[in-house]
Amino acid sequence: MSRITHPIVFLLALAACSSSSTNDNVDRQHGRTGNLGYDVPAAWQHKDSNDRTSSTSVWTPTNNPAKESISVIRTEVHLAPSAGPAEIQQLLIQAQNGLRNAKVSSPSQIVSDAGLRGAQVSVDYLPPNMTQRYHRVHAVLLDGDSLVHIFYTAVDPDQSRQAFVRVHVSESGSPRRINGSTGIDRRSRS
Amino acid sequence: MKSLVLACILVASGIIFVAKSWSDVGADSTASDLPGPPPSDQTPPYVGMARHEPGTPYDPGPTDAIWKYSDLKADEKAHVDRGRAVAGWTDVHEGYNTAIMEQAEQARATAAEHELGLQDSGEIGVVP
Repeated sequence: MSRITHPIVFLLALAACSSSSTNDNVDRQHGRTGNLGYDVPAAWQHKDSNDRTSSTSVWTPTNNPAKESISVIRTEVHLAPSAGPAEIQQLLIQAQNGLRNAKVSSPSQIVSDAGLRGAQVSVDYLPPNMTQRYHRVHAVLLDGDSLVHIFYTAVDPDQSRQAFVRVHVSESGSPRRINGSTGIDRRSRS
Repeated sequence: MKSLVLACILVASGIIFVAKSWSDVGADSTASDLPGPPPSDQTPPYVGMARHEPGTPYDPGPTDAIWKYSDLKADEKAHVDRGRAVAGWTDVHEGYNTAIMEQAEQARATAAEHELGLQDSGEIGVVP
């Protein structure tokens, strides 16, 4: 069981990976995956699944010509106690290299408003049994003994779309909103 | 009372008779009659030999028993020459090397996925 010592709030602009601002005027709805609470674009539908160590929600728009999706996965892991954003970023890049015809780009370390740290990477690749290339942004945040994965996947990613996920985690497991979130503070480190 | 004793004796006699009959079944076909390996007074050839050290060449025998290259026929020499021509093996070695590198990369990726708590991440969120 993960141990969370402080509320966590982060706001990810996933589709426009180069964007660090989000549009608070976008219609949203609230979603939950495990004890994670977050906002996703309104009118998107979701399918949930759980196994012994992870909870997954996959969100898709009703009308989806671009084949977009946002997947939120909370999974328990057994990383070394010293594992930090640098190790997460390295693992993230290595994991992308296993994708078919993968072209990995834009690896970066990220820090949420509440200080939750992790990494993010973009990749273009051919999914299994597919003939079209898909674009993906994969963000991972360290949350105690758990990792929070957020995928934005699309054939035709809409760079102007403010696809985002706002995640709130509190020690009691109930969502807690903190006003004034302005998005991810991206810091590059050597 | 006498009749009861008589009945018991008859039953016991019957049981003894049946058991004796069953024990006689197949008495004529004993294991000693079955064919076995032929008797041999020869010592197995490996007895007394030193154990061969793995990874070392075997003794080829006397020198005159060794085939020399000059003893070979033309087609046999051609076969040997093909095996000694290592210059053409580069492509094969590079092919194996590439395959091994790809497998190693895939193994590293799978290991990284597992460390991140994921499996088959390429399929996650893919809308067909």
